[in-house]
Amino acid sequence: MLANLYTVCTLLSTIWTLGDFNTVHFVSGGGPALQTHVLATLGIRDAFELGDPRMGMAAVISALPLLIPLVILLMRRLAKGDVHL
Amino acid sequence: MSDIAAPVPFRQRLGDAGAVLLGLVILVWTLVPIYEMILVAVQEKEDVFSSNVWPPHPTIDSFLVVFHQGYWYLENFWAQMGNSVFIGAMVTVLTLAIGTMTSFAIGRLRIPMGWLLTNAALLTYVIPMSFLAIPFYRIMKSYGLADNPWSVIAVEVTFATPYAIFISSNTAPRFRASSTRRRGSTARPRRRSSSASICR
Repeated sequence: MLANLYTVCTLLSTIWTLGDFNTVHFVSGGGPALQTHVLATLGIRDAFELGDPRMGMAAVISALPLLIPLVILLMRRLAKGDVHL
Repeated sequence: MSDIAAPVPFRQRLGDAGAVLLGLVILVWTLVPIYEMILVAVQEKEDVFSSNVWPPHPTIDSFLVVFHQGYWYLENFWAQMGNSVFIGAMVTVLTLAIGTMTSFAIGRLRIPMGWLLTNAALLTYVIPMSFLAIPFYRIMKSYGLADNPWSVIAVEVTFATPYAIFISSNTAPRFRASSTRRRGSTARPRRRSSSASICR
């Protein structure tokens, strides 16, 4: 039971950290020289600060091949029913 | 019978002390950010980035300026406060209404693989909001809602509803039990719980 719980927590934490915007934006702002950007902040920067939504969306979508398998794995774990969000 | 309590073993006392110490560390870890928020708010402007643990000249001037809208970019503070309250209230009402009705329907209709429906709804919940900000902006822009609080309400409800459905689905058996009894059916509900009685 604990193994399933730990797996769900790890998966959720990984998924949310992958898409975390606030921490990076407010702590480092992606700087210096754009070295600490993550995909979420880079996508928003490209779309809204540089005015190029295509580039922003492409940066963000590049995370999906990693994100979607994690989400599917999470769904399967949740379907087991002994762990609830 | 003796009233004298048996001495607590040394290892147990050591474990208890460790647990208390760990609890204190977690408590400080949790409270420090809140303390920092208050510290920043009550410090003089030039002291904000200092390493003071206690403000040398605590003041509530910043609160007074905010509440009296005493600075040019704060002149709409109360309107913005109203926006926050309105958006929060609308999102809560809509999410609760949609979430409870959907989970009730899924529970009552006993859709095969209904769990898949409720879990699939979570897909939108686990995809980070920052990833969907750009498409949401585009959608709201094309609907002409980009400068309207309802665009924020729509997005927030979209994100909050799947979780509400998921949580409400766990209470669906109680809905079933109470509705069966209300219709006068002779069939006994499958499961009676204290919550079912309260629902009735």
